[in-house]
Amino acid sequence: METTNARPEKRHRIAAAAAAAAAVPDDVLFSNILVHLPVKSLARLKCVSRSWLAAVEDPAFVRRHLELSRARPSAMIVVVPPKDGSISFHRFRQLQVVDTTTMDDSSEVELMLERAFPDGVEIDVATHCDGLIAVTTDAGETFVCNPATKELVTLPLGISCHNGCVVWDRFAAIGYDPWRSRYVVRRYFRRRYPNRTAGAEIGHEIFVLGGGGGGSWPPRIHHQPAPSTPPACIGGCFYWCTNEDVGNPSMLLRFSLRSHKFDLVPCHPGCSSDVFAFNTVSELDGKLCYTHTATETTTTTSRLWMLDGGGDMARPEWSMRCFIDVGDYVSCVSPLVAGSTSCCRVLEKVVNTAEVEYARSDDGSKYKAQEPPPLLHPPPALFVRAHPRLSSSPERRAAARTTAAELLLSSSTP
Amino acid sequence: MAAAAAEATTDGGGKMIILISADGKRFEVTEAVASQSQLISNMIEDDCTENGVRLPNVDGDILTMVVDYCNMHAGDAAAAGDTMKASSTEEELKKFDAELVQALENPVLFKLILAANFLNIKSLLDMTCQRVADMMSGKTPEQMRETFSIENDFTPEEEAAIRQENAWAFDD
Repeated sequence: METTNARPEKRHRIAAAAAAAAAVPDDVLFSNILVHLPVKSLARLKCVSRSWLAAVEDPAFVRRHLELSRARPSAMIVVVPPKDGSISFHRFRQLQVVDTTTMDDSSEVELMLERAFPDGVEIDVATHCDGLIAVTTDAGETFVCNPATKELVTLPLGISCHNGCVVWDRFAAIGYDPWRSRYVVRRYFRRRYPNRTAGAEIGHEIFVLGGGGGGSWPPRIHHQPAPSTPPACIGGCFYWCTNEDVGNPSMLLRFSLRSHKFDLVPCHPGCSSDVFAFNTVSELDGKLCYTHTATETTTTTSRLWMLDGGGDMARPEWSMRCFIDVGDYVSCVSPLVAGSTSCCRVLEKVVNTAEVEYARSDDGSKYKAQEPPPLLHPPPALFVRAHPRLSSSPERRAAARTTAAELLLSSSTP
Repeated sequence: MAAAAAEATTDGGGKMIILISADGKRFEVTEAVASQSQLISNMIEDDCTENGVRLPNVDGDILTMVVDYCNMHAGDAAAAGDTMKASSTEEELKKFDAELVQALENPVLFKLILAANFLNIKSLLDMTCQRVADMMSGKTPEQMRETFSIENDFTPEEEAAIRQENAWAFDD
């Protein structure tokens, strides 16, 4: 490794170049040029000088870089479940929705990050926001990683398990708080004190990522309906599906990062709970998508409802984005990516890496992406849509999905 | 206004404006062409372009490129001395843009960036900066210091630590 330092001939050359080239002012260099570079190049160029390092790690720079990166077609990140005690993250470009009837089968898979867990590990839930992925393991440990920069941090245990209480159903989700411009991880858990007769408590705790705040806030114990699936974070609010009584209209539990309060959002009246229904929330095109998947006799169908932002949230407006005949029984469907509105195509299901299904809303038909990507062997646990992003102080965008088995966690515990 | 309109060229060119480079070269362009520069657009609004616009930090050869670019992108063949056809198609524009920056050596490209920045012509600035960014993406820190005449102000220990932290970005 070469560390350039006071070497006379080099210094001389630099001086000569300086005279020849009109120096590009720093503000143009940083905010107009560097911001277009890929994450890897920027990581390498951090050691050019102190001012370059400061520029690349500046939150405003990171924000702008992410905005530009969003304008480009996004890739998927595949979180591969533990194999031989390690979790790996792969970038998978084939999952872009393209507006042609034949899928581009030139898939491209790239290992982004691999993390070994010597004691073994299982993933429960992964959620995504702006290139940051929060993963909760079966042991209740939560970590946040940025696969593009290969950074990974483990969140503190928090106070969910103090005083020897028994904790279960811990899962964490990452989101963006637009009012305070920061990323937060909300961890949901249930606990019971062994020596008390009281029933289980449900708690939520918030961790603030990056500068400002740090550590955890006291968890709130509340008596809202228990969340049943991983949440989606849209517009500064987390939304969870709930385990409500069968027959009642479905409700979403919402937590506002602005007011730090919970409330309930009624789903579309057509989505009443059903023994054979399974609901998920996810982000689709920047809006909340509530997917209601129900099995009647032998057929399973999914309806994707979009929550239109603004307006009276006590009477939210839902519009049906599409209707998918899933065919074979699947316990859940969670849409990932939508094509442009003209073709209304939704990437509906990732069964495993060899089977990627797209659905079209116009005729309810579906088809599969052609070539199985040369990835690893099935089944991958989690797919999240992501743009490669820089690190330092973070940003947004979410959409996570798991295969059926993983999604069923936690809701059945008494 | 009326006096200036007498000088106006054929198809709806409107008022002409004279740009004067650092080395005294004069360029006559229509208001529509010149207004792509936010700087000049503001000057036109403030009515202070009567005696020509002096651009003391833009050389004639650079200004020639800027004026070519603006003529092309205004889709306006009315500009004086311009032989291009009116309303260039999108493909022609792309081809023109690519050819404009493709052949440039770094020092000239940097000067063009400076001019676009000074004149505040966003599309030209974006295009030239993107070109530099494309050139930079595979480069090493040493090459960057050289290209941009930057002094390494890290101590060897500090630099080694940063490299260590980002070691993954160095293996290709």
